[in-house]
Amino acid sequence: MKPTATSGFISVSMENPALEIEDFERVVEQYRTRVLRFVFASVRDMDLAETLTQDCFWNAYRSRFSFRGSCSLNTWLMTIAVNLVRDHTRSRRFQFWKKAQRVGSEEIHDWPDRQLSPEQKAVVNEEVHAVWEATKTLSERQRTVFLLRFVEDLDIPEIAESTGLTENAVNVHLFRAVRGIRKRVGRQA
Amino acid sequence: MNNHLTEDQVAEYIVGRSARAELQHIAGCKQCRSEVERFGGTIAAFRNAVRDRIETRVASHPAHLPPFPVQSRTTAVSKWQWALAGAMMVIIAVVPFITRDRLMPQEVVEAVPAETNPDELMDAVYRHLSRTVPAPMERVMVLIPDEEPDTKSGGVQ
Repeated sequence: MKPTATSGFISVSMENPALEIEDFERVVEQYRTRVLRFVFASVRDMDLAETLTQDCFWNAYRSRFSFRGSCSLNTWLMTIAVNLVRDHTRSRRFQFWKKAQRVGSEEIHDWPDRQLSPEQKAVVNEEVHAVWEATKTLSERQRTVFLLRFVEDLDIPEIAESTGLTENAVNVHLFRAVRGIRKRVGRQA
Repeated sequence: MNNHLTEDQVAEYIVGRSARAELQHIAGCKQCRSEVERFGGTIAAFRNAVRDRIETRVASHPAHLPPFPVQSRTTAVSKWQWALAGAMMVIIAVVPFITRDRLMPQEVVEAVPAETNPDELMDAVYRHLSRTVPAPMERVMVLIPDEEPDTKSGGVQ
């Protein structure tokens, strides 16, 4: 019997240095939310995000034997998602519909924090929507780095791995993204 | 004099790259501490809002991916190996025929009799030297009838 280890739901073979993802449906089950979250926050269109998420898992399935385990499965999937989002947002079709305001116009829900008073909740929601709008104005790389850091909680080396940037470049893009958002959101006195 | 954090310094704090002096200032300045906490809280609320949006979506719209066929790595590799082995077999079977046709001359070389007797060998050499036409032409010369000694060219009987 092959020795295996369990990483969350994922059973991977430890006999071969190349980790073997044996049950891909469980991979989808575990990582769909994360991939969809990143893709949706990037393209701001839920239907498009679902399509790109499906593409992400199909690409991952087709190239699963090339996954060597040098990074986590989450980072590997994020790499594929980042590439898909980048390719799509650079496509002429996306640029056309973006100009026509047919994509990228979805909103996010208000944050349902029951501990806040209605006034406080209104202020927080206003700030959240300001950040949501501000991320739209960021460059593609700045937005990707910002979302991976502050929505997906990846650390700098993982972001560097996912985006193909150096850690220094990630830090620079992240700083510029936060500064840009700060500028847009402004001091909320 | 305003010693409070600049916008860039607030951004550096959020990114986690603040210098020690700035950290000390934030620890001692209530206004700056409040400012960075507020901005950090806004980003945290943004993250929670995005997460809530997606969790709601995933709960109401399950994945529609068709089932992934379970296939082990060894099976996939052995298919490639079988395909490679088949291709090699075909090459091994076909190459000798191709190379034979190319390497073998179209004309069959006449077998030279192995003459071991020196006299016979010398006779063969003399015969070869005494040829009136080149060897390749001899086959053609066979087809040409011998001249008739009786006929006279242009003569009228």
